[in-house]
Amino acid sequence: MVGFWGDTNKIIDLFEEHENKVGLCLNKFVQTIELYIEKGNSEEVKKISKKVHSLETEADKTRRKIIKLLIKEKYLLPNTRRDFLNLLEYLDKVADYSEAALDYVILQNMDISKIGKNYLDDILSMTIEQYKLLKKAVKLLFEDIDEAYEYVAEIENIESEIDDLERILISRISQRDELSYGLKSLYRDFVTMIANISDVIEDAGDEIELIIAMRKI
Amino acid sequence: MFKLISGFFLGWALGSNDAANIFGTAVATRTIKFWTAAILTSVFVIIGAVLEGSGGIETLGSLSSQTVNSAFITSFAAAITVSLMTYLKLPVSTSQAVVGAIIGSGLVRNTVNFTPLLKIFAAWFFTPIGALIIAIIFMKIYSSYIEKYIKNIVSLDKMIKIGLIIAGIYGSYALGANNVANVTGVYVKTGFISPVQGSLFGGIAIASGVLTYSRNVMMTVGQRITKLSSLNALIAVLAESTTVYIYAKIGIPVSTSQAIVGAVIGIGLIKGINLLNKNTLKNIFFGWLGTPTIALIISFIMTNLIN
Repeated sequence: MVGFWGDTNKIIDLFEEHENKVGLCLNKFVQTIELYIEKGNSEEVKKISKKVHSLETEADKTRRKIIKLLIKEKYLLPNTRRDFLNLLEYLDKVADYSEAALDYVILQNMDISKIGKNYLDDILSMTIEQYKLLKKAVKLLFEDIDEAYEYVAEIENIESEIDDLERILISRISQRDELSYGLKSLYRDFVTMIANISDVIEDAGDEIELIIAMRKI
Repeated sequence: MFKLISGFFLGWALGSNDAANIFGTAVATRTIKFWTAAILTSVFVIIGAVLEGSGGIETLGSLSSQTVNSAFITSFAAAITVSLMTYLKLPVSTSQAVVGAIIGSGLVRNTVNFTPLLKIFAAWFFTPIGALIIAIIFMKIYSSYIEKYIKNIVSLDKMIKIGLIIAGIYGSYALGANNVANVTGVYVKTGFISPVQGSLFGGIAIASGVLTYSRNVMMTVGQRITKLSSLNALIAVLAESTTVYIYAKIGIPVSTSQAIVGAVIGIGLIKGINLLNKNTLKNIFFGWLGTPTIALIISFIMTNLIN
């Protein structure tokens, strides 16, 4: 709606655009990792990984547009602008962390097929599910903050489940005698990097929780 | 006209201190610009003073008979008390300083009418308590009715922004209506100026303080109030303004600072935070007893010296 306050829908649209780009980046990352497990460091993997990079860059561009708009527009309170900037930062980190984890595995030329495919698949699919919930929660901030609160609780639950899987997987890697200490260390770091994506989604959820709590009596 | 200078000085001090309790939140959070707030405050202080300032003028006038000289000394003593206590960073209320100064001067001239004092003391006592209760009522109304309808961040922010401006305008009007008596009540009693002239002059004096010297106090006080949240700060300012306006209707000048403290404590109670600490209580009691006593002594000494 354009009026005295300016175009209030623009910020909502831009947030949605940013979330979609980060979501696409995350999905593409998962797809690339799955392909990497199957085919190793192939040309096909390198090609798709470029798409992850370009999506991350696009998300970054949208983030900058949002920052400009938050500074320019007058309908939001300064506190809300700060809260939205924090939220945006966390959302953007989802793409950053995905890109970083992919770079790590490609640059190290690691064979991750032996890490524990089932666990990795579970972590990645749960992360995608968790991000979908985060997208809904952000959308609900502009529609119904009480409902957004429920999604935040779900996001936390998934993060906790991913944490459990991370611990089990790292523990299993440590117990495998056939792996060298260096490889164990690389695998552990990779698993931690993947689990960090879920952590940052939870951080975004916490920020949403804070935004809602500060606006309640 | 020279004799009115001490009244103007007092009004200036009042404006520079008390505007913070009204628009401090909006300015400190950068919701509105200082100059917008200062101009709105000045305009509505004058309107409030002219339209509804007569009640307080009558009450303060009934405390003691005045001559132009005694009015000058009373205002001067109150202004010195306010300035001294502000300099010493002690909590200060112009309303309480003026009452102390009127009694001090009246004691020397043996003209004090103690009957209205009980009503005035009761009003002082019930200012923070009243603001506390009103804040709790506003919180309940908000959570029971308004919160259910405003569910998205953008609408909520718009409501808070508009609310802070409306609450500020309302508070400015209430400040003018309630506190103008402090500035010119004693002069009106002498017949030196008419009630309308007194209200207009007092309003302008308060506005001059707002326009020239309230920015820093606004930032300091505003940042303290907004520690709660913009929404709670809005409720605090609304509760304070309502309390002060009620006393304007009753015709007793009260302290806006004590009203905002009461409102903030009320909000804390609802949120389960105990904001009523020893320091706050000490400040309130000092406002009730210390400020009028100091003004009384200064006024007593000055009247004796001049007599």
